[in-house]
Amino acid sequence: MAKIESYQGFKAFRVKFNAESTTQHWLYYKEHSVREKNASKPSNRTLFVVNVPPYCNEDCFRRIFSSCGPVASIFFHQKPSAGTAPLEESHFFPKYPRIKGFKVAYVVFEDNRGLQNALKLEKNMEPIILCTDETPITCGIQKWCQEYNNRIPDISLLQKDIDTFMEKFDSEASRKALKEKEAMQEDDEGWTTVTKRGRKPGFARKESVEKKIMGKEKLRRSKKELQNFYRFQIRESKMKHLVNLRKKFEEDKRKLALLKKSRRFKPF
Amino acid sequence: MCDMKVKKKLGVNAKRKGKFPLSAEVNCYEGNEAMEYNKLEKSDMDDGEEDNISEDEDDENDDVGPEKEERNEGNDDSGMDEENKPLKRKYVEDEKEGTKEKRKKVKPVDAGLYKPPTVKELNQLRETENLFHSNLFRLQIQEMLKEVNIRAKYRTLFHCWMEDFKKTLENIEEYEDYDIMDRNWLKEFNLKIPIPYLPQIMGVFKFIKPTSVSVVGSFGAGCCLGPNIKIDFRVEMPQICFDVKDYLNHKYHVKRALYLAYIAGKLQESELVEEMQFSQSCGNPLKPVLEVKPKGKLGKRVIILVHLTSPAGVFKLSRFSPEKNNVRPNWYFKENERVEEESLSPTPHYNCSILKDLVLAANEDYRTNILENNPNLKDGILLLKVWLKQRGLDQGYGCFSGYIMCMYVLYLLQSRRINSVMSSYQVARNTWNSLAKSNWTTDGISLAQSLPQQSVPNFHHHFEVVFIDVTGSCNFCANMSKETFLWVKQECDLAVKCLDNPNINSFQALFMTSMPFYRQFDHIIRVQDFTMIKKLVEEHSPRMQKLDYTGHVYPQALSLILEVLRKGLGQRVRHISIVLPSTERWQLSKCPPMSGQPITLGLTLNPEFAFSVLEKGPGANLPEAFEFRKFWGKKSEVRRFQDGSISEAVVWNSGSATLAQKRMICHKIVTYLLNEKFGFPTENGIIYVADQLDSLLERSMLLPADFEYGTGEEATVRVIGALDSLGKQLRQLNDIPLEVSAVQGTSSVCRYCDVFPPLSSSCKVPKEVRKEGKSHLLPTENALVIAPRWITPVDAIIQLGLSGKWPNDLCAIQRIKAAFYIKIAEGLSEQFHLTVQPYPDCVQILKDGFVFCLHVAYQREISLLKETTTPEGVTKYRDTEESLALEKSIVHLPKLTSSLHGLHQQCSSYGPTCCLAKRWMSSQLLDPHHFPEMCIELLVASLYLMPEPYQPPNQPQLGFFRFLHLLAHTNWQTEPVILNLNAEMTREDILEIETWFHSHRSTLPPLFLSTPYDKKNSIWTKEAPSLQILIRAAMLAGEALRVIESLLFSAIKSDWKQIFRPSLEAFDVLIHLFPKLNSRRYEAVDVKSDKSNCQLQSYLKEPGEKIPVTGFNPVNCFLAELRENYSDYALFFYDMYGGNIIPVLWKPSALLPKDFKVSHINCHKPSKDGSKVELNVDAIIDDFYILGKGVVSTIDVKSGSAL
Repeated sequence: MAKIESYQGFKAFRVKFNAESTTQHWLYYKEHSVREKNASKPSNRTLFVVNVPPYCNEDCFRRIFSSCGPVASIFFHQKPSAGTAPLEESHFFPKYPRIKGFKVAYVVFEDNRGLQNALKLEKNMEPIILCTDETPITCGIQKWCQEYNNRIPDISLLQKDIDTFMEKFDSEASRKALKEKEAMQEDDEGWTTVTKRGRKPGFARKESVEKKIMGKEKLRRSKKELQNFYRFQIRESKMKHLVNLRKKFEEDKRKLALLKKSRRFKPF
Repeated sequence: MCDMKVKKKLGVNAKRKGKFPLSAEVNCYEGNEAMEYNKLEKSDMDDGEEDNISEDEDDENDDVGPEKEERNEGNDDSGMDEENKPLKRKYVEDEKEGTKEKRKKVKPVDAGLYKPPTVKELNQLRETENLFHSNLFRLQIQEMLKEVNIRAKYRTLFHCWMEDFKKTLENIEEYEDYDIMDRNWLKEFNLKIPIPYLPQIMGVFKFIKPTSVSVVGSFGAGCCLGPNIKIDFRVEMPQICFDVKDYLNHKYHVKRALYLAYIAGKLQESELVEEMQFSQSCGNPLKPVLEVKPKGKLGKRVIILVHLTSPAGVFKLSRFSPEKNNVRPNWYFKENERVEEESLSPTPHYNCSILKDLVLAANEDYRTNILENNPNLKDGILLLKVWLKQRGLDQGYGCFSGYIMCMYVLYLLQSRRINSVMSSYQVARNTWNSLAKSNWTTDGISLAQSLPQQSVPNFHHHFEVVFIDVTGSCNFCANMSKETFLWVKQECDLAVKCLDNPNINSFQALFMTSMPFYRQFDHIIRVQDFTMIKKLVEEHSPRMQKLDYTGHVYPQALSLILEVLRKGLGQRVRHISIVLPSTERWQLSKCPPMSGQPITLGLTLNPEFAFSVLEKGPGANLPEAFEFRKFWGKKSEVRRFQDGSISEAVVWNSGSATLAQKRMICHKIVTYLLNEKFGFPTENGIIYVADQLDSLLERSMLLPADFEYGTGEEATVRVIGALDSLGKQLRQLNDIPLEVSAVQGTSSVCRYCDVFPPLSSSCKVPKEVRKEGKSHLLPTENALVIAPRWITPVDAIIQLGLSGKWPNDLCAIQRIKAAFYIKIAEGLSEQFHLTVQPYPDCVQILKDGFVFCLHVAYQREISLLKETTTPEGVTKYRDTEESLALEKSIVHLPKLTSSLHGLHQQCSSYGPTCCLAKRWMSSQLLDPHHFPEMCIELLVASLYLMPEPYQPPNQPQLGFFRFLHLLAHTNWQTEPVILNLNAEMTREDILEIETWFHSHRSTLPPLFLSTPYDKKNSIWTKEAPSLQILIRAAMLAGEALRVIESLLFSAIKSDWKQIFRPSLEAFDVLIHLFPKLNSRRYEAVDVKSDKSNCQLQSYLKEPGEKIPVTGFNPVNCFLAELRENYSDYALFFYDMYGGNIIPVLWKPSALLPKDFKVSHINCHKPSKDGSKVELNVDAIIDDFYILGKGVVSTIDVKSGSAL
């Protein structure tokens, strides 16, 4: 028992896939406590579990932990995080990446007692079974067939989804445009905001534009200088040529050394 | 600088006190020519003295470069300088007192770069630009010459040994008057006479001490090719050994052989000799030589060849002029009729075999005299010899030996096309240039100063290739056939082109790449059966030839076969090359090998004509028609052509022949002609290496119903055709907001690179495995027992017309695109009645039995993905993972696809070569996850864009061999692959990429591929292949090449598929799959053909048709899931073409016990003592079963691995 304590406050319990499985995964858990507070993961009611096998789903976790007390909600994440998982707006156009591979889980109980019970799970207990008749886990060929079939969308639903989004988007856009227009008006103190639109737009605040302006400035300055006028300049330019030749020679020598290292000169 | 030099000359202490006292001394040289100054410098300046020179920068700049101007104006300047720069001088002095090292530390690099140049250095730099190709080329030449030169150690060892050896030879006891047919003394020595053909002759053999023994050949001339060298030793037989008429009827040859045998016998007792063998000079069986391996260390590198010669005065040289007869037919054929000498048929080759001995000394003297004082010339000859050897041209009967090359260089020197001040590079280059332009088959050349006018044509009359020696009587190229010379000529041409091509490393191509024949020729013909060859010569060789070659079968058979093939293949081949046979060696106690050399020919196809199914002959009524008919025999038929002409013609295949069949038309011709003319059996008569690997690209089941499949090109053409017509229909759509401007395919099938291109067929999936959706067939979700047939979706990009109305938001763009998909789907189904299905990210279309997957490309999306805003409100564009992926798929992929499609149009073997390469890579379990397909395609493309030193292959198999070689022998760490597709990059671009590559090597992926569209990022190799995979691929490729080499000429029915079967030894876990659940099971290498499933039904549009299950393979799903979940701990391998095993390799680092960390706890369990955590291997293996439910049959865990 003492050894488990050494895992930075984590305890472990074992799970197996179904009753016939002979091997177990070790799940490590502790009470969820982080500095950042989040209403959806209250600190005294949330259990933090790591090393959750990829095929575990919400149903099966709910079943497992409801034995400890009523479960309010369960979150899965790719990596430990204090916030809630972002909610997808649309079924057809996922915005956030899917969770891949092993994951972490946050189990939120209705009250503190559930958490306390859960913390009593032990590694020496019988392994917990994940897939039962009550909460089956589909995997393998069945899952892939389902995925393939679910990928084919209903056109009318898809069209509806698009239409609602675009409506929202358009109204948002027109609202923004209006706001911008308002900003371009002179305000009480006589100031106007310069935007990209209008008759006299300010230059775009882009990196490339800034670079261009700086480049032009540099060019202008360098044009003022006379080139190859003083003798020392001529000398310098000649020297530069020589240096280039030498550099090339050195570069070639280096290449050669590399080649030599790989013994590339023995033709046979 | 100037002052300093002078100062040294004057013996002043090198330490500099100030500039100006010395400038006066400079002035005394002022008026002199620069030359004198240079002399000074040369004598003084050495690299070691730079410490004095590295003054601070200003100071140097005064000294640098333009010495002459400086000095001319020196007078005025010096005065002014004195006033102008006192401060500076002081500064310099101060510096001087400080430690020199200090300054060096400040500018370690610049000190070297900015030091004033010496004249020597300047000259060298300039010289390189002018006299050599480039710096690198020069340095490489120097390094290589160092490698091939004989080490001094061996030279001295040899000289000691040689003295002793000479003495031994000179002290061999003389013995006189053996009867020439008496071989008893040979038995005492336990020897056999080293010539194979022994006619009955009369005479007396006596052994008299050799008149002289000396080193000749390239070692004597100082242009010997190391590191393993052969030194020619000339032993001159005295004149008294021979009778006046010994030149007749092989007497000379027999005596020479006996003399050699006698020497060999006596040497057996010598302590100087480790081992001895008989061999042949240039593969000529009439001219045996003795190979002596010296005792001791010398023997490791050096082999001595003892040649016998006779003094020039033994016979008159005119006796051996090519039109003379020296082998009497009545003696040779044992006939009794006597014929006058003048009317006898000439024996030029026989004559030459004696003549060579007689003129050797004269040529040798000529050579050593010239070469003695010309080191550059020697180096040049060495370069040429290396070049010859790499091409396998310099050995065997009828070779273009190093000796001939050497003499040719001397010839060029004599005719002033080379001079003695040229650099070795220039010598080589000029030689190639002149050789490429010359033609010794019609305009022979001669080293002799004065030659009778008629003699060159006379030589041409009797020899195919003519290069006459110094004495004007002997032809160096007597045994060479026309083909060999043309081959050399062509190689020369290539070499010059190669040098002029700035975009490749020509040094590597010319000197460092060995070119075994099986990687050189498209087709290889081999006649191996000696009884067949012998029969051929007996029946078909003219009497004259038999007399001339006296029993030597090889050249006679060769010329017979060549004559037929030349005519039969005609324009179809660019070139027929003779693969020169290797020289035979045999033990002293054995008889010389009687079995002749096998005949091996290589064909380089001419893609313009090689694949035509028809050989059109002359008009049927013309007199030539008779000859045509006679040549082609029963194959020739009279045909009426479309233009109305009626001609003789030979038809090799029906018009609907597949490309694979057309590539083998040459095979048909060769087999037919050899059978027709010489009675070679059509089956198993010859070995023909060309299409052995084609079977890997063929389908053994599920064949298309309406055309022949071949190696898949025809199927590919159909797909591309369907895509084009779909594109047309899309452009005709009326009812969409933006018109479709272009449709570009991006799947590998559009580049002809799909190993199994999709086939058009109606999809009849059995009821039990499908249900029906609205527009789709779907796999049943419960208990799928047989996976539906794999159907590859063909991806394409739709470019829409320009519009300013696109929103500026990624999510909105996504929706708009989806709306387009719906619109396009509606339009297509209404206007053209196609079966369609829109998705949120593409639209699927069933057209002509193919499933197409179209994506709308909107370029601005890339920049929106890149856009980030800094806190100051400045918009920046930075590559992100998503933007790169999108750029790859909508910018790079379409461009590359069209370029590679173009490449295939130029070289029709590109596609199938790619397919073979991909198939091999996958069969070795390196699927696209490990070695991306595009990466293979580009590597293969490099074989076509930079084929040097070869020409682009015309046969896929040849391309595949070269691919394997590329994979096995390239050092990717130092060599970038730069593909100049469509020649879009300039020389500067390429140089820039090369320097970029070298300076950023550590941050670039292990394999660096650059194309005009992606110069510096190597986007196709970024994620894969990893270094480990590259190493494994190299190892596998090397092994495959070895197997191929052993298979080439082995039994005729050898199993070429073995290089496509992986070894499963190295893996820890093997996951076996149920074959029936693998959608691509019928593509496997060793698939058992199932008759019931042999042919596909051809596609017929039916009302209410549904899109079949597309791109769905349970095994792929399983593999993806495995990689997604466990790629941190294990590597998964798979053959995507119907593999039934997924081998797994644990990552060694993952198996180590670790400390508990939340970020690295996945898949781990507490170790036994509980202090650490370790990988939960058993549970992972159980997970494989769980995740692969229904697909996995068993899992094999190898003992000794992991746990």
